[in-house]
Amino acid sequence: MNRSQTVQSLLIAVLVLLSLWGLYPTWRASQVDDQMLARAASDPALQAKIDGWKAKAIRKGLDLQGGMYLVLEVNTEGMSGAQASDALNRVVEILRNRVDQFGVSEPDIKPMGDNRIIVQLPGLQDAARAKSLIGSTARLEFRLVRPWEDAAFVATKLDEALKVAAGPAATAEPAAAADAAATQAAPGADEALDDLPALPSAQDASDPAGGERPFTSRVIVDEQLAQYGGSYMFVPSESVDEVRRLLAGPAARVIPRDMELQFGMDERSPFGQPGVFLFLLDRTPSLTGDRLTTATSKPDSEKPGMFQVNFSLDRRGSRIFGETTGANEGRFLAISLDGKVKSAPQIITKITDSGSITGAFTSAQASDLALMLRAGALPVDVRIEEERTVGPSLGRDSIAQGLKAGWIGAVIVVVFMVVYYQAVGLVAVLALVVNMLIMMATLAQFGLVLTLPGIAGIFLTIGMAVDANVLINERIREELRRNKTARAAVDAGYQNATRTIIDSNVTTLIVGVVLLWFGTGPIKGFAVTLSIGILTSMFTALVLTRVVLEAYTRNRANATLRI
Amino acid sequence: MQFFKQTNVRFSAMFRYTIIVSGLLIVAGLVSLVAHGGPRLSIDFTGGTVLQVKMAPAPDIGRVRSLLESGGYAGVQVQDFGSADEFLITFTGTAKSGSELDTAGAMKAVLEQGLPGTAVEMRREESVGPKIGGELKTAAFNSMVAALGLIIIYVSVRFIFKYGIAAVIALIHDVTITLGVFSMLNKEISLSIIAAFLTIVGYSINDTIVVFDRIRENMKLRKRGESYAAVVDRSINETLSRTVITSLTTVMVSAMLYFFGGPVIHDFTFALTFGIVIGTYSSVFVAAPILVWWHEKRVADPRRREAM
Repeated sequence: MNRSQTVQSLLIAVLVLLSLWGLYPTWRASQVDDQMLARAASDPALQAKIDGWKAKAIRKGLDLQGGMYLVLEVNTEGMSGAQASDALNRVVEILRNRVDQFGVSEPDIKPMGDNRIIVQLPGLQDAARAKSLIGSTARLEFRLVRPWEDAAFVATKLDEALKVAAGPAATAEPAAAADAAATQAAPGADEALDDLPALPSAQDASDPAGGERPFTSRVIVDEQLAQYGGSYMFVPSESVDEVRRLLAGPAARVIPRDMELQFGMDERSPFGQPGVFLFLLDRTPSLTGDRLTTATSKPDSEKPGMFQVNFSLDRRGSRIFGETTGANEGRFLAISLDGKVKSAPQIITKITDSGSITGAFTSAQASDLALMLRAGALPVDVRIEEERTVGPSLGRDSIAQGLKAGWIGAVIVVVFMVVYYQAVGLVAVLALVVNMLIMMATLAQFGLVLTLPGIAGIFLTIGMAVDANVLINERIREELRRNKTARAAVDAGYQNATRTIIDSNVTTLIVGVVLLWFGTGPIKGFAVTLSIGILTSMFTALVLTRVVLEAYTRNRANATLRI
Repeated sequence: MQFFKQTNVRFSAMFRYTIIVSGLLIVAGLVSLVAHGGPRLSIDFTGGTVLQVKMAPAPDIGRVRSLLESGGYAGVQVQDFGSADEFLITFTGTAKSGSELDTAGAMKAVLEQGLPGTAVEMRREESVGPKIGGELKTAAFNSMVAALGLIIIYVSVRFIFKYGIAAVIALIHDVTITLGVFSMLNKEISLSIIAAFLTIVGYSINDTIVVFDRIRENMKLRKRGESYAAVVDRSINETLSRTVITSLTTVMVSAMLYFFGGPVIHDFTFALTFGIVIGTYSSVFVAAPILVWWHEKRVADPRRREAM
């Protein structure tokens, strides 16, 4: 063996050992079972070991371990560059805070570009809950509900404005819908509201509703309603979309400047009819959520099985809250979250430093709201622009199927190579095994993410890695046909094949790099394994197999090579 | 063992037949594309929501569809996915009502309400807003152009410009036919299919280069009186064994991934498998003949003959 061969052999041996060492944590982490975890619970040393293995093991992508990938867009409209980037960073901070309190292991939240944030939550179980936790602004506001006179006034004004806006011709189509609404509304309302005066909508059945009173024919406006929900207006479910549309139009300008309409958050059926309350509120909040010091969820003292959120206020907040509640006893105070009223309790007595938000909260909803109030409201609204969530069971299935399919393919290739090229084929198979080892160790060592397409990429590289060996082997065959000795044939074979192998692999590598640049998530995982695979297969084909074959034919001028 | 001892096929003479095969495949694909109004893009590019749900006991697929249709998701698509109790639900419109924040959750609620006693498990949910969809479309297009451009540059530098053009024509041939087949089978083009296309490009160029490399080598050792076409034919014959065996091993792996890799990467591995086959075909029957054709055209041109 000459010197360069010795160096190369050593290099290969070192690489293989390094790879085995790099893959050791991955192997140990894969051996961790429930029994071991149970023991680790009472054994911090073991737990530390397991955590260490996991940290150094190959990282599985969200598509394999399950989890959520979100792209949020921050609404930075009308902000200067500096303001926008400040807002973006604050949103990231608050979201990190929320997610940390929510308890996701290894969340990854980072800004991307000028106005986007990428959120990755591995191993997440409840996608809907996480989305509401991340996508909600959580702007908490306390606003006084305007008295009955104002509500009646605004309702009349809206009727007038909408009638003018609609004009005489436009009554036909909405009338039908409103008629249906009115007739449906009537029976339920009559039964339950014995003590209430006849409701406007009930009287309205004969009226071509859209015409004379476009607003009050769809919305029940009554002073007595307040005892059910703190508001004087109620929109039956079937009219909600229509009312929303009407209020988004120009007619809403008749609402006085110091007032604002907000819908209730939850559907209610105070008298047997489902719908939401519509609140006429002070435009200026009496108090906002940034005055909160703590927020906790507690079981609701009045409604068993339901939960409420208790909060306490800082000193300034307490003073304001005390003044507001002290001066407005008997009125209703709406607690509004992101522009929707959660509840509107009546002010019985002056409240200063603490209070509670009630309403039909489940345990999870209450604790999430408390969490968001503690972490603070987002300074700007965010919108979920892209979401990709994989459940844990699909991740497990994907790994199992991907590996099974890959191994079947790999075994077929190995059998084929050995049958077709015999001894030299075996050398190629050895190269494949080393190739796999180095690839996997590279993934583990550099913390690269393995995805399902990534698994496909690994096995695909096996198919392609054979290529370099095939090129060399075919060349050697050609040289043998020209009656060269085995050793000369190996030499010439490598010499001629090297250039081809490099040229053909560089172009594939170009594609791998383009994919790395363009791809996200699973596709990036594919690009990673494909690119690494190309590099390692070039190495194993050009260096490893050559050392083995040269060693075999060394000093044997007459050695025959069965190929 | 050896499949090919020393073959001596006149590939350049077969070009007139294979161009018809390629032409037919391309035209059929283009007709399908035109008939369908372009490739069928997935929600990655159009924006929308995809749910993969598993339901036990498995409901009738028509029932699932009608429930969602009447639940405010007009135009929803429901397909079987892998097994009888698993469905892929695609919705690209805007929901009539429900939370804009969580279309997926709202659809799940509709199913749970309409099918009491059925457990609805969300296996996967993907939502893409129209804005990001548009950006992904641009990124996908740019990446294709970048990949092809870089390959032309590399091949032109390492070989000559003519080789680069011939190689890229073969690549466009491969991608166009695969795209056409996707259209004919009514399969969606998603982000991962674009990745598969790029891989096909990488694989096909790899194959083409091996042939070109041999042509370049053989041109240097050209025998007296040997025509350019004969050199190309000899080069293809000499590399034929390698071309077929490499394709075979790669196709074996990708076909196994297609058959056993699960429904999530089904279309991805389909594109790979098909693309590898077509890429191998094109290296031999498209890229090399273009070189011959180009060369003969130049020889036939009297102004150029002097320069040769």
